[in-house]
Amino acid sequence: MIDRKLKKELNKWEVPAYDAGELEDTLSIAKNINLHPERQRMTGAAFFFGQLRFIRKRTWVLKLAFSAGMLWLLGTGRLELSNWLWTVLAISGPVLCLQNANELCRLFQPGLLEIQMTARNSFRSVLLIRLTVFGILDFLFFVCAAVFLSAFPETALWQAVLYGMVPYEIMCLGCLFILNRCGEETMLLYTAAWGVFLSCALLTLKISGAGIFEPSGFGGWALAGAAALPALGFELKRLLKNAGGNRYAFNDGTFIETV
Amino acid sequence: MHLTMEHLSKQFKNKAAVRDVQADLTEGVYGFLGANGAGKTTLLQMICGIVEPTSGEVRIDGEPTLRMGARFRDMLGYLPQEFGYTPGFTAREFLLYIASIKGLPSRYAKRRAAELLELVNLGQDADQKIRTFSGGMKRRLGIAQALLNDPKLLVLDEPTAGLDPRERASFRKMITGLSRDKIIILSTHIVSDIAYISDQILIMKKGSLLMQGTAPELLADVVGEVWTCRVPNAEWVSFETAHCVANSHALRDFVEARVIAPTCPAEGAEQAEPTLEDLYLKYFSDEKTEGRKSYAEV
Repeated sequence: MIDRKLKKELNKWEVPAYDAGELEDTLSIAKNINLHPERQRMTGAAFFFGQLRFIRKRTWVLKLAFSAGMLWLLGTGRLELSNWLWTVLAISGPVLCLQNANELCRLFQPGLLEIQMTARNSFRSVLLIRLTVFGILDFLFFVCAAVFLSAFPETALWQAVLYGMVPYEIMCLGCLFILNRCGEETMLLYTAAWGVFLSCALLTLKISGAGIFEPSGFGGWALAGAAALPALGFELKRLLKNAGGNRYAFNDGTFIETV
Repeated sequence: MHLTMEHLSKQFKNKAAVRDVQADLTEGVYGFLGANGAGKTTLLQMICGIVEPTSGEVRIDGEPTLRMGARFRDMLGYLPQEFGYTPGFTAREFLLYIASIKGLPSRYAKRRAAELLELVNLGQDADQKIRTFSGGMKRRLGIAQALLNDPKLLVLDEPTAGLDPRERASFRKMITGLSRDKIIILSTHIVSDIAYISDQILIMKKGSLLMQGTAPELLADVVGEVWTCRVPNAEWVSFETAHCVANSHALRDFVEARVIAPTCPAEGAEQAEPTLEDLYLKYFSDEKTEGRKSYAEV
């Protein structure tokens, strides 16, 4: 009885035909890995996570500390809605973006840019990884901020979204514009100047009583956000295209002109 | 492996940086020699895919490198004329970063970085910040990063700039050892580096490939045109302005000069064995220092 049952179960399994070539192929691959490690290349996933450790610890610490600090301020009700709550949220975007720009500018050093363009994993991939990781972190920040702010009865979700994302978008647009057009020596200075200008502009508008955070300002914010989005896409596309090499010109790491 | 440059040209707005360069390179060392602005760097950047040619293309074994994409970059090692590094990195961290973007697995990359740091005599400085390095040390680090992925095509733009004679000798020895199964392209002003180690020399002038060949083949062009002579001090100034002087050594009553001229430049002048430097001066002395005649004007 047992043997019949066992036989029936075993018959359900399909045994493939023996192929001696498969064994030889496996041995050959194993031999290559052992004898020629220089020919091995990391997978895409390994490359992605490997890049993360080359982002400075300082950048991680600053981003996390700033995000945590802002969320604490926004979430614990220490700021009055009528005064500084929206202003703090609006300024968070440029500051977060500036931290990202600081990290990206390090990759645009004269001489280093050319080396990165001639590597197997293109410079475009290197930039994309950083943009993706920073984008996810910043998006999570704004989601958390929106959740915390939704606890206030006087707030609306669209306010948390617009007042946070639009300045972030405009800051990103400015930074990408600078990365696409300026020499490496001045990138960091110009992005910092742009960040300071944007933050001061928001503060000035707030202090002057312009009422930029009034519900009646919805149209203006939505328009600014909608206008910045395609421009942001254009500049991002241009940055990634230029990162792939085959430029019109290249001179000691400084843009002369791009296609 | 064959690297073929087919009618490569690069035109900027008002300048032709590279004009119709054609070459076919196989394994060995190739030295690109030329004055500043000859188009060497632009040519190397086109070979590496950094700059897009206006016309023509670069092929590896018949396949355009632009189409090969990552496969081409995987076999490429490049040292730019101006070597750059990520601020704040140590030498080891920098090599590990470059190894990462070259796709080398982490464990192998650590071993390879250590090997190359020893090879370029930076083993003891591996954990120092690059910003503390001298120019020569940075250059050696640049050479090390170009070798990380054991490239089949190694392109080095001014690799010996800033290196002292001992370091240059060490570099030449290293390149000679690597050249058996690689195409190595060097661009330099230092004629002696090219003379010693290049299998073939390609001379560029104003964007065009002037001549290509082994050192003896190229030197045949200047045989019988290099002279040594002694010129009295009183006649030296007029002599110098009238001739293409490669070298001069002032003595008590006269000046010993090495001159490049198609005919005997002075009484008692003797023919000398030409060198690559003489060849260089013959073709590039029109980009001359003030007060001296070029070979063409002689």
